[in-house]
Amino acid sequence: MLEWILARDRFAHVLLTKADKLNRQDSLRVLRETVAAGADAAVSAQLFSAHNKQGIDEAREVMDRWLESA
Amino acid sequence: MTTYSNVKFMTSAAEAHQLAPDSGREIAFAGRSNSGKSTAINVITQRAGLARVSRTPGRTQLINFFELAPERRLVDLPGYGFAKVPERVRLHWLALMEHYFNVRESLVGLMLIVDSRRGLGAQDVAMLEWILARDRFAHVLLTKADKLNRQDSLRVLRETVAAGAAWVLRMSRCSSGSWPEIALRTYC
Repeated sequence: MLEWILARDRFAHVLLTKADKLNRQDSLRVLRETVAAGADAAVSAQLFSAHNKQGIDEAREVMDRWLESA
Repeated sequence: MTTYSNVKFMTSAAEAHQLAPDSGREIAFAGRSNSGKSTAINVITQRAGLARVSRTPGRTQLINFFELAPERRLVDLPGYGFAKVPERVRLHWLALMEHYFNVRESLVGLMLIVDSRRGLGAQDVAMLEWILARDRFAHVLLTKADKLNRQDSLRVLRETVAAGAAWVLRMSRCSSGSWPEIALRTYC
C-alpha cells in the first residue's frame, strides 16, 4: 500500500508545482485538458447522508444507469 | 428502474473460486471500515440489516453477493483500513480484491464509500485505480454529509471530483503516451 500513498502524495505535489514548471500557454492548455477529461470522467461523486436521507435517489439513479445501459 | 427493495442474499465468497457466476451485471460497494458502507447499502435497498455492520477486525473477510433482479447483482466487498488486522488477513484481502477486480466481466461499476470528514485515502485510491484500469465507472458516496456544514461538504465534493478527474487523466495519458514530456516524467 505504500506505493499508493507515495503515488498519491507525489501527484498532489505535481498539482501544486505545475504553474512553476509551465509557461502560461502550456499551463492553460493542461488546465483545458484537465477540465475536458473531467467532463466525461469515469469518476463521479456526491454527498450522502443516511441520517438526513440525503442523496439516496441520486445514488440509485447512478446504479440504474450502470445496470441498464446497453 | 431497478427495484432495489427486491434484493436478496445470494452467496458469500472467502476465496477466489467461490465468486458468484460471472454473468449479467453487478455493482461493487467498497469502503474502509466505519465509512458507512453497510448503512449506505441498507438505505439504498431499503432493507435494514441486509449488510451487517461489523467492527470486528481480523475476522474472515467475505465478498457478499446480493441479487437485485435476474442477472443484476450488488456486491459488498470486504472493508479495509482496520488498524489491527493480522498481516495474513491483510494479504488475503489484497489478493482477493486484485483477483476480483482483474477477472470480473460482469462488474460494471464501483460505488466507493468514503467518510466525507476523512476524504479519499490511499486504499480508496487503490480501488479507483483497479476499477479505472478495467475501464469501468466509479461513483464516490461521501457519507455522513450531515456531520459537515454546507460549505465544508461542498468543498469536499469539489476536491473529490477534481481528484477523480485527475486520476482518470493520469491513467489515460500514461497509457496513450500523449502527455507532454514534462508530465510523462513526473506522472508515469
